[in-house]
Amino acid sequence: MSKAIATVAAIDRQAVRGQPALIPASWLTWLEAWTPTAVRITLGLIFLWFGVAELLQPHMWTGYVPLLASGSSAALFLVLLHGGLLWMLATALILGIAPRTAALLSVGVMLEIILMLLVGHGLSDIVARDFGVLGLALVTLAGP
Amino acid sequence: MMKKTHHNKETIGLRGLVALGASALIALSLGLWGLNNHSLSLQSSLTDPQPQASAASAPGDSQPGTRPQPKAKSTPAAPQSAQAVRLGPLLSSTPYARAAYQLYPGSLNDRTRRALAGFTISFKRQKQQVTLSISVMGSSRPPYQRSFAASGKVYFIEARFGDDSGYTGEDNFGDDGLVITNAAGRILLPPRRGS
Repeated sequence: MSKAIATVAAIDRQAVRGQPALIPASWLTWLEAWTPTAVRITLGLIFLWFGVAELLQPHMWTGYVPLLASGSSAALFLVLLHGGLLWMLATALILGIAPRTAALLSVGVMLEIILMLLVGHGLSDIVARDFGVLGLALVTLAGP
Repeated sequence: MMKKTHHNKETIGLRGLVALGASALIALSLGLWGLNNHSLSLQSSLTDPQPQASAASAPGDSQPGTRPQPKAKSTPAAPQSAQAVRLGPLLSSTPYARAAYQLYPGSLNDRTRRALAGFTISFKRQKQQVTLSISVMGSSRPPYQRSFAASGKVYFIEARFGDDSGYTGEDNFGDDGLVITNAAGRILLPPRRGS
């Protein structure tokens, strides 16, 4: 199985390398140097947006909490806890504090969000978008 | 000769700890502020497993000194008499005005239909009274109904479109609400308990 994956990855790398460069080589070098940081900060900004939103307006997010009544204190508390977690992760990602640990936790958070949405509401536009954010978290985790 | 093995551990450092500590304090402050920031919600009576507060809460109910929400009955909500309603503030003076989409009178434009994603609503006019009926799509719960004078206006509050999928999907009802105003634009609060 691992040999098959390695083969596919090698074919993919070869195919990408074989593509013509659409931007100057100097830009590409600069991008290669700064993209991992840019991806990490972008992920942090996304978490910051939603963390602030959940902290400032928790009543508007209780609908996402499964199994609990939206008007319940428990749902409200969970939203605030979730918002606080997103905020802390955003701080760590943007400032580069233990970035790999933050990225690992980010992957966990995104998987939790996607799972809750799938269970509660099925496949939707939001789930599709969140898969993209999960991809950002994975790239940050695997990055240099 | 012994080989030294280097274990690359990720460290936070003193500066990182200070930054995270300050961040935690800020998060706590934001959370406390958010707890006092109420919002409209249709969810409590239309989508919750156990009915708790009544639906169609108005922004006026979150103002200091207003009465708490009356509890919803376990039977389907009967249309409420417009004669027993109380007047709240002007909708235009509330923070929800920007997120308000007029449902009645008039026809629905595209943006209003998108705001209504996940809900079905109908109006029935009988002489000088109009009865609105709103329900969640695909829900087995009975629709919420409310009567008001024909001169009134009905607005749907949709604070965030990000949780809507097209015209039929609604992932989060916490940012949705319903407001009825009189002809002058003042919010009609639900009747007091026992009236």
